[in-house]
Amino acid sequence: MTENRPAGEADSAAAAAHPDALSALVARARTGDRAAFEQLMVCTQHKVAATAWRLLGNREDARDAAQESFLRAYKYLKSFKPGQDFHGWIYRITVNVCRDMMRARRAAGGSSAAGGQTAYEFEEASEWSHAEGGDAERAALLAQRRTIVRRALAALPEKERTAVVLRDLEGLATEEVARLMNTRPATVRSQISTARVKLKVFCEQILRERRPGG
Amino acid sequence: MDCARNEKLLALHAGGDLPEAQARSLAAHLRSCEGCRRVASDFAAGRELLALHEPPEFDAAFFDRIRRNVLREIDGGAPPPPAFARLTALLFGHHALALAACAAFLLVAAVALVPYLRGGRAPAGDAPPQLAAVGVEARQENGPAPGITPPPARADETEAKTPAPVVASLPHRRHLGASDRRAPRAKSAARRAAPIEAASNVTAETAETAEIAEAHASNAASTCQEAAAVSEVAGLAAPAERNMLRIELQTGDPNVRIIWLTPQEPEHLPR
Repeated sequence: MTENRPAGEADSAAAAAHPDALSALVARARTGDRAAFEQLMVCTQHKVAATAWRLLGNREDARDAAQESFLRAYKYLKSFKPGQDFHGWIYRITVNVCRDMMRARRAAGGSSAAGGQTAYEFEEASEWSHAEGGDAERAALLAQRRTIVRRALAALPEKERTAVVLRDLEGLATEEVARLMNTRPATVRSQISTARVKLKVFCEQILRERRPGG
Repeated sequence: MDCARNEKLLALHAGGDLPEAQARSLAAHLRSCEGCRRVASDFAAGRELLALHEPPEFDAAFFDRIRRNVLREIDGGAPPPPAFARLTALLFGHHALALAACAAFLLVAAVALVPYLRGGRAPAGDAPPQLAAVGVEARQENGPAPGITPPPARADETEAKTPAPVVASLPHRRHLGASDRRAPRAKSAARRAAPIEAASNVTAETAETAEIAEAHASNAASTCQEAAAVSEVAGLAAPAERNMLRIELQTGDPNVRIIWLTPQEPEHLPR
């Protein structure tokens, strides 16, 4: 199903569907209805891909993670309890898939890209584009800051990066983050605290270097 | 509040992750501490920068490819019919190796235990009561008090169930003198010999039991010789054959009695 409009609009429309409609889709998909499962993918694909991108840092890995997430969801659809939040359920699957990919990446000796980058393979801002306004200077400034942030995240250890992405970017509660990371809330708070300090220091350093005369 | 240690607290405070009491305390400190306020401001700026970490706009082709790959995987990996899938999983699944190992272990254990069960069970089942009877008789024969007789209950029981075993021996002539000299103990020996119940396991599979039985039989035989000699002297019994030694052994089974005829010579007596 190819559409000319950006995929986000389709997702928004699907996401705004009534919860009962989503439950009906889930019930049909559990019986093996292929079309119903495809509709479920349409409803959740943007959120899944965005989360995967934030955790993994690049589109190729995000695409692989999204595919694996949907395959796992199909495989374990029978264990999905009626009445459960499907968005939250597939979100947890996505986070686990990303963590597995990071672990596999780490076991394989880091990045597969040339240059020996870290496990967090970030994309430069020039490789993709946002829907920006017409101001080129402002766009360039934003791209620069995004690059700084991505490099700062890439510099973090995996657990700290995962904790701060889930807490600060995905907006999950500390307890939920702890559950997804299979650790305690106190540990998550410690990781978040350390990650925020490192991000602050990194950003300050970069901004100081780029400041004229600094 | 120590400003040097406040950095991590301020990091948590920036995201609203401090407990309420601690957050109030830190907020009060910030009102009076310029340095900590600056740090808190830096953390807030860092969070704003972090919010720029937005994913790119994924176009429709990006998601179409994802869905196409997923559906292809679902269709291509369609499971076989349930029965076949279960059979395949059973034969070639990761449980198959565990099942095969268990089966092999059980087979080896069964093979190893069969000789033990065969060799130990039947004789062990039969021997104890017989050996117990022999043992009782042996103790009685070798006990401190001469003329030990079986316990009255046992004797009564034996007499009630079976006729009293006739244990007689045909002593050699030259033993008569010795028996005569042992006359004062004849009666006790006769009492000891008469109700003797001896058991022997003469099966080839229990050599040890046979040896014990032979030892007791030899005791019984020698005792029988004395008793027979005494009875002959007393005129109580007259063995028909003077050249053969007849030994009768009553087993634990009242219906089974072993009769042993052997030449009279001592060297022919079972050792």
